[in-house]
Amino acid sequence: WVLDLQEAPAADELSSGKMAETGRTWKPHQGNNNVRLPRALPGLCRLWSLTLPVAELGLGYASEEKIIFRYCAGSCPQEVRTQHSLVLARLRGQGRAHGRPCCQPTSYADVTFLDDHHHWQQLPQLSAAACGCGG
Amino acid sequence: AWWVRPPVGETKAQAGSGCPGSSQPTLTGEGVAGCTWNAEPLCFRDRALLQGAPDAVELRELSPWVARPSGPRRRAGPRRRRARPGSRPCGLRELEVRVSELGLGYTSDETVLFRYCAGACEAAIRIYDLGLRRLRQRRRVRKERVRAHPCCRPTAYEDEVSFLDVHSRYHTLQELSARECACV
Repeated sequence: WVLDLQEAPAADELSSGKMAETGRTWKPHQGNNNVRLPRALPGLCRLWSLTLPVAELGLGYASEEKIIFRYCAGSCPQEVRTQHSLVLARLRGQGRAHGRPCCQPTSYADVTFLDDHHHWQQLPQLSAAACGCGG
Repeated sequence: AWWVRPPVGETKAQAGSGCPGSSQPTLTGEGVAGCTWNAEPLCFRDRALLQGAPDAVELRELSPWVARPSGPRRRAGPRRRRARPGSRPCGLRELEVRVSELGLGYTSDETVLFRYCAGACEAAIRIYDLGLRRLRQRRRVRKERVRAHPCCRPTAYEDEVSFLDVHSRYHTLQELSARECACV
């Protein structure tokens, strides 16, 4: 009975701690999100980054660590890398060719973190390392 | 069936009338003549009646039924032809383009075969896309800016495309037309 009484408050403290942490972490991320994604300026295709807890990715890992998730976003004007993409953009403008240019990662990076059981977890090619527009 | 049954019935009736006539020889002769006279108009009358009303009505009723099913069958054709090109998987597409329309500055009436990559890449999801979709659901990323699936891109090009210009000069373009596509 004495042991039970001792364990109960510990659990309460842990739960309250988690709640406080989640509350605190949410707002700064929103702030970062607003700063990094300005509404007024539609940016070109480039690399963006978000710092977020592992659990928010929804990939099934139990961990309180935070990772940096990088992704590609932005508009893709006519790309002039190759003659192919030049001609393709012209034909698309005339409505003769299907599809559209898209902003995508051209290379990836692995993400590593510690889970709740103190095991190192590695997610290969989860984060983008560079971006590009390609037809 | 309608055409075969009435004549059989009529012949039986005539045979019945013939039996009483056989008792008197002179009457038999007259009876035979009478039967022939009576038989012909009856046959014609019955046939005319049968030909007229029921068959015509039945045929008319059948004709619209026959025409109706053919309609929707014909309509199904063009609907199938209107398949969306965008829903096809990632692959090569072909276009015959005049050299002048390429927009590369050449003047020529010749045409070249321009191949490019287009199609859906929904089946080639990467772990990067899974994470990105999750963030998009939680509104951490704008939907209009991000595409959470790979893009259909050329991974190899044709070596050369050659043509003659208006001044009979020979030109060769490299990596103009796509040869292979992939979801990257």
